[in-house]
Amino acid sequence: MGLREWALGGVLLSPFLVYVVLALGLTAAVHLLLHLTPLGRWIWHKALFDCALFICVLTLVTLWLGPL
Amino acid sequence: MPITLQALFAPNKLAVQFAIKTLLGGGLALWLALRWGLEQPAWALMTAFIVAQPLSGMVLQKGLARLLGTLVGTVMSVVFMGMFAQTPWLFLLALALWLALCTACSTLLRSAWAYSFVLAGYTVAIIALPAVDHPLLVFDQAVARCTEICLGIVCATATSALLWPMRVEQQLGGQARQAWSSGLQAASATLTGEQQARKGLLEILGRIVAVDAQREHAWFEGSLGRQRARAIRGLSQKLLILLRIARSVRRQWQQLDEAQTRHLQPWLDEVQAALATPDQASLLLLRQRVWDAAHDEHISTAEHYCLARLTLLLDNAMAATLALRAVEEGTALADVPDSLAVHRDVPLALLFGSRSALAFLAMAGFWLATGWISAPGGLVLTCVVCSLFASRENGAQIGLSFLRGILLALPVAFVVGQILLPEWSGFPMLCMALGVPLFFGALGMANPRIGATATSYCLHFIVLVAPLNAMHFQVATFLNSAQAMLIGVGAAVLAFKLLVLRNPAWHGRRLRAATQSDLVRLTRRDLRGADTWFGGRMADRLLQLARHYAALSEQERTRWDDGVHGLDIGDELLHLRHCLAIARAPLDSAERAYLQQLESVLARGPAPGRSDRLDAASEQFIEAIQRQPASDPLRLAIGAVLQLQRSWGKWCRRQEEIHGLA
Repeated sequence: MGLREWALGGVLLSPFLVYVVLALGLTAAVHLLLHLTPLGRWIWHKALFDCALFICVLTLVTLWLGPL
Repeated sequence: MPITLQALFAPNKLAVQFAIKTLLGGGLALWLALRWGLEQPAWALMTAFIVAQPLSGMVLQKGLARLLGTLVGTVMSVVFMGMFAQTPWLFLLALALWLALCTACSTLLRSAWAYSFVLAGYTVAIIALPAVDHPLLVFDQAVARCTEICLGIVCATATSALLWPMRVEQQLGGQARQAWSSGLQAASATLTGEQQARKGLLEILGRIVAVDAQREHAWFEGSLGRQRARAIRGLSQKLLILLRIARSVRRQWQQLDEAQTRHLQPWLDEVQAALATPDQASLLLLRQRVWDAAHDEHISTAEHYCLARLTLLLDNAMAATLALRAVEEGTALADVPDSLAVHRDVPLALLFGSRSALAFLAMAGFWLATGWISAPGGLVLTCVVCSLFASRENGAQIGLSFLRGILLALPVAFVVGQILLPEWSGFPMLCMALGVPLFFGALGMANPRIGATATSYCLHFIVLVAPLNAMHFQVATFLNSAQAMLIGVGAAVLAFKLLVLRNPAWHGRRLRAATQSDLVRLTRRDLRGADTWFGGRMADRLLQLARHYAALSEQERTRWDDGVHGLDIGDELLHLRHCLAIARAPLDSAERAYLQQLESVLARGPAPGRSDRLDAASEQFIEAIQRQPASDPLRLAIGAVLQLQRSWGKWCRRQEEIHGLA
């Protein structure tokens, strides 16, 4: 079974869009956590790290929630 | 945000005039496009907003650059479609390469005409990408886009030239006078000392480059504008020479002993006073007196050099004043110098180009992988943002303000396009629906601090509403294109953030290498135009170094010193060659031997322990000069050789200090 659309007031939304928004929020939270702890100092390329982190979180979210 | 509120609700008169001009130009373009039944009238409206600039010369220049770029891009899109219509990946690859090439060229060509290259690059994306599904229609599409864009340019130019015309050339006079007076001040400050001079030098270089950039726009404003443009060229050159001579006077001054300094101090004070209140007659009088003093029998050689260079300084101050008068009166100078040369860096430009291509390919991969119909819209925006802001240091910030503009445009466009317009019909109602949001957008465009966001807001509002003769309203299309826009600009911002090509240390090293190779070429180069060639390129580099100055650590700031040392050496070298050319002494072989030695020393570059490499050659050359019958240019030439030797020693010792620290 594949992914199914989300119906929002008659407008069909791709579930991937929902995952992306969810992953964006989670990434922001992890990012904040990293920068509040001393771990943030170890990052070499901040933008690259954030980008990679987002991809990882998005993958996890998709795997975890699966087809809704 | 107080700035935004002030720009929107308490605009000044100029901003309101600009908004009305822009709106009328856009309205005229839209009406004509609808009347003639063009395929997508939104493009005409959008072009009128894109080329809108506060000054009429700028509108015409930008419009012509856009037209040129669009024509080339249109032809290329038809060519690409004809060749690769059946092979999507090859097509995208060719497009990416073309984009990289155009971005690189626009980065290299550091003038207002660079915009043509940007356009040539992304017009291909604008025309070819939506036509992928029906390749046979590409020719019609190309003709339609070209017509719409031309219509927009003509309407915007007409309104900006007819309504409250504001001309670049009228403002040029004031800007030129400012540049001139701060140039004289900077020269005067350089005479007294090193520390105050640095800040002054930066400011004046910035001004000279800024005034010189206006030249291209003034060119389009009638014969008076053209004369002024030519005169500005003369003024920039004279001011640069003035600054370099002031530095050379300072260098000579440092060679004086205490008694000599006391002896010459009154002259220096008098020159500074004359530069503070310059009028032609007193400058001329003072010049004559300094010249006589320089030829006094009783003064030492060092004093003679110093006074002779002061004379040269006054000569150039007078020439700069004449050039300023030429700019203000709009008369052309008798001898028009070449325009200022700029520093070009081909590998860096190619890197910028490949970043655009990479961002494009990444988005194209996303498109082919998902097969999303709206993706081409985002792809076009990735191209636009990547190539427009490629060479800007703050590309990511501009991209983000672009994104902010889209976010503002989304709700407004939804209300206007999906709720109001379905109820209304007729051109006047359309004008009202589009005009009110666009008027506020145009007010924002007039304010440079929020200009990028406001421009992006206007353009995306127009794209999202997409006025047509037979409108069709679909929420799904709207949402899809909104998402595509966000993703497209997001991809461009990501590319700017991930691939940062502005490493100050690396950039500084490249600038120094370029300076060194210029110095080497200066030993052989034809003397005609060498002043503007070297001076312009060095001014450009020093400005670039200065931009990184704040970001560098104390130790790395030596790069700026490197640049200034390079400038000094080049200046002495030019002075020497001028003196020798005037003297016309039979010194050919000695001169060639000395210059060859100098060339090989410069080519290896300054390093610890190399400070005495010029000593032997200098001694030999001075001996050869002294064997000739004495004359004034030869005397000055000896001074220049000694200064070259000293400047080189200083540069090398500076390297020793740095390496000692490290």
